[in-house]
Amino acid sequence: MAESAALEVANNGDVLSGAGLQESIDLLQAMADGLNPFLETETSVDAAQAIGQAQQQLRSRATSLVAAQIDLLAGQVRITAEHINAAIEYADHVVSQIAGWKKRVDKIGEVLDFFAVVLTGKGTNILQAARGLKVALDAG
Amino acid sequence: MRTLIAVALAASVVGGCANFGAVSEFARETNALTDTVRTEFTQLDRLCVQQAELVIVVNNIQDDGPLKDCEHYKSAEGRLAGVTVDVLDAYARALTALADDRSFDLSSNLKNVAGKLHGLKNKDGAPLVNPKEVGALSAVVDVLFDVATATRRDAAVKRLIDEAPNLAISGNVLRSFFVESADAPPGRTKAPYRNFVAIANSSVTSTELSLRGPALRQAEPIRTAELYRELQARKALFRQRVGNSPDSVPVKVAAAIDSWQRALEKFSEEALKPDPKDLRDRLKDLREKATTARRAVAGENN
Repeated sequence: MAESAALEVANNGDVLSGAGLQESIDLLQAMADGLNPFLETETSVDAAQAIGQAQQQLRSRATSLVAAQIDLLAGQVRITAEHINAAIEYADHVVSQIAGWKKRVDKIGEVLDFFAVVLTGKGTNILQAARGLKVALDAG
Repeated sequence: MRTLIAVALAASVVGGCANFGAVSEFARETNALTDTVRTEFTQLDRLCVQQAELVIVVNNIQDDGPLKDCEHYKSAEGRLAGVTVDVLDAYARALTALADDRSFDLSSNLKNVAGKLHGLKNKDGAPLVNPKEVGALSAVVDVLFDVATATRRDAAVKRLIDEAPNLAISGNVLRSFFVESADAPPGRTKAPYRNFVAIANSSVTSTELSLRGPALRQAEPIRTAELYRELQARKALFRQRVGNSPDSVPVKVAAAIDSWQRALEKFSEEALKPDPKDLRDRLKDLREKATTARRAVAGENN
């Protein structure tokens, strides 16, 4: 995501809509589906259930975004749907290249934490969370 | 002169009866369509809940999050589509009653449609309906309550026929729930039905892989096999609802709504004419499309 200096300030009435976040909805689903191959090979019940729980959380978040209209807090950084979609696109790219299920599920946890901040509509916090997400994704 | 007036009156009465026949027919087909849509809402809700319960069991989820996701769609866009069906259904019942010269009652639930729709917001508090859609639905409801107490049957039927433009807007609202539409309510790029079915269908696929995978099969082979069998029937029903092929449920329902819109157009022009030929042709097409949609919803092969 671009530096805050380059971003505009949110005004009353600025929103992130589910329509703009459709790409994120599709990417969250893709991330969930990307865990499917592990279900075919994992022999531990705990592992299979941890994978299933992560998939459910991703789909639940996608469902909640379908009709979302997130009011951005006026006076804070004006985040756009394109920013969020770009962050999730990057996350999906990183996550899809991770070979082990456990590490992949850990990174997915970071993505879900990021979305919890997105739903607050606090642009400055979202920007910080996006930076935090990138650091977490890039860490080995 | 007196004879001429009597003949004209007789002709008008005979013509009137014939015209009310077309009114009855349109009402019947409208009811058939709303029944099909309502059945699909019930079916989708049931499938969502069953899948959520299975996800909870298979993945040992400790809360009811998956069930809340089902509630989410019902309480948001699903509610708008549900109210629209209620209004169209009441309209059709009123038309039938007037055509048969019977009185009719309206559900008190319909009374505050505008208020309910204005109050329809997503979980973040944003409105889900635009004023044009609220206006169209509440205008139809207002006319229904007016004609319910009207004494002149022919004038009452005429008032209902004149609501065709508002019915057309309401039909578009319903259609946009199932398939993408240029005049969809605010904040949509993909039809809500498609989004929810796609997410639920991908959940079905993952659950099937879990149940087929080595972990659960080795730990609890009998229970896993039972759950796997249970999932297969549901999987087929989801497959019929996902995507936008001509055979899919949403496309068939949308085709029936399109056909209803074409019939509505002729209904507003010809309903009171002595020989509404074009209207009858369009009603025939509607009957065929509605039957196809009903079979698809019921999971019957055509």
